[in-house]
Amino acid sequence: MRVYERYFRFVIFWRIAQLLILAHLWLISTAGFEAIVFILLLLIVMSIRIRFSIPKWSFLIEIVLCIVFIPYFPFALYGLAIAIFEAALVGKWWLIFPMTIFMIAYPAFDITLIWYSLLTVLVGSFTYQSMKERKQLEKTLDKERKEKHELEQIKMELLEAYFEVEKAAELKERNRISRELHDHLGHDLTGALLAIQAYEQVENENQAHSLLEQVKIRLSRSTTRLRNTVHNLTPVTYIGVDRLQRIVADSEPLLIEFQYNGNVDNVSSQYWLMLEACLKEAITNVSKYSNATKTKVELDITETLVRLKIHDNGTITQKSVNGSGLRSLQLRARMLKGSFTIDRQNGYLLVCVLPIQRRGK
Amino acid sequence: MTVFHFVLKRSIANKTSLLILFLFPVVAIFLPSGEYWPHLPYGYQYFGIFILFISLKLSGLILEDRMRGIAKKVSIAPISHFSYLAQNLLAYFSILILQCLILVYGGVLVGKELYQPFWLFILFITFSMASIAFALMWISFFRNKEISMLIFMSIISVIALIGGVLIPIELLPEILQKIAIMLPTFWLAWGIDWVVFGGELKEFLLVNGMLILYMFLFLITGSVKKLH
Repeated sequence: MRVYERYFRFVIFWRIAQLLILAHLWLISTAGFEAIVFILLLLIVMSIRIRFSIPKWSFLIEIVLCIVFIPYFPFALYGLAIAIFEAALVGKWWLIFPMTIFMIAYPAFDITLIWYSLLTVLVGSFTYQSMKERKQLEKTLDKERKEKHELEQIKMELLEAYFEVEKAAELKERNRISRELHDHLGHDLTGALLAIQAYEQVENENQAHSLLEQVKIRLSRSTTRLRNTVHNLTPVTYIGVDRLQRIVADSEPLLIEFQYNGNVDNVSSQYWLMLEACLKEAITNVSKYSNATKTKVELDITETLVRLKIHDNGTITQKSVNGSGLRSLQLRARMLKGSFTIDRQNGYLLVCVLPIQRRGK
Repeated sequence: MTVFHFVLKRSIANKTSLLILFLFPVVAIFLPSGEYWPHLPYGYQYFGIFILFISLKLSGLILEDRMRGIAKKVSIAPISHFSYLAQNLLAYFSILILQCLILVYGGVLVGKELYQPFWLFILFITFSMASIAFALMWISFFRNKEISMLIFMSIISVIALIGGVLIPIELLPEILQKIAIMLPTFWLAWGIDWVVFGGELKEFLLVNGMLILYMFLFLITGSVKKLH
């Protein structure tokens, strides 16, 4: 925008300079008030052009004015340079050819006029080319900005889809556990209970023995099933606060102090993922850019929110723009209706606050 | 026309404004005539300068609107910038017409030698239009009312001097006489001379045409929407 203004100012400056040249020619000539009318009209056309956007062919107005006023004010021929400049400014630089022929054909022809027109067409064409290039660049920039916006939109949608898939997976797992418990463990335990109750009533020793044997088999099977179910439930990787502790432990040789308080069960898995990403990003940044010797990580979990605060004692205060990692985290925090802030004033401070939504709400 | 009414009321809201606006034309009627120059009584010769000052004083309301943030409020109100500006200018113009009327009609009633009062009235009206447009352009360069007024006063004195309103243009050096043609005040002085000495109507039309051209130029430059 600023560069555009610069071009605009330059164009205005050039237009005014051309009018001043005309005014000077009028001063040294013997022309009367007609010259003033002519200059005034050119000035009005110029101000209209600056103030409003008028059609590209408006340089014809200047040509007509010049032709009309040449009989009264011979130097009006110099006014044609204004028309040439305006034409060059809209890419019609070839107008110089008919104009030059007209100037040469005119009785009061002056070689200075040709030089002046040539200079004008050069300046006009150069400005036109620069503005055109600039416009093209602006267009590309706009396009890229739009694409970036669309990508961010897609990212948001993906994140949303991810949360939905996670919810579905949770439900599926819950169903699997309940089915497992109901179909196998429940049946066996009920069978064992019934067998025990029957054992108390039976008088025949052989029958009692067989019932006891049955109970034993059922209980033994139940124990195996329970072990299997529980084994299936236990994740291979660490989750929750254990995962965060693991990341901190893995970050050696950095000296990181980790402490947490509150009920970690309040935090859902998607939040843990977010907190994990924050912690990883912060540790990467500390190891990459900071000269910190000590980093403190605090995790506070209350009934209503989770707050992760990472603070180092580094002294480098970079005024850099947030990278894509941080921007992505900000976006994810926003998705979770939380906030993600970074402060580089006094060491590197990263705070992520996420609200806890109660289940069923 | 709400803005028009409001601007009109604001312009004559206090007694000082009212006195400046309407007492001066009355006083100007009774100012004496010069011996050799000017050809019209002093009150009429210098009335152009008065019109310039009054235009700036009146259009100061627009500057005040900008300074006080009213322009911003107006820009979000259901009224176009053009309408706001047009109604403002119309209100100022009405006041100036009234002043010209008081001056010329009063002069005729009192029995002053005005040669061609009707054409004089027309000339003052045209000059008023150019003058309001000039004031509008002037305030578009400034943010502060006082500073704009101070610089305006010095500029006005110079253009009135060079233009031939304060002293006969023939007394000026030749180069200044030539430059003077570029100033609206020159055309006013020429118009006054035409009223006094008479001449072809074409000449008078040229004078008015020039003043109207100036009005267009100043209006186009001055009507930029500025929100400080």
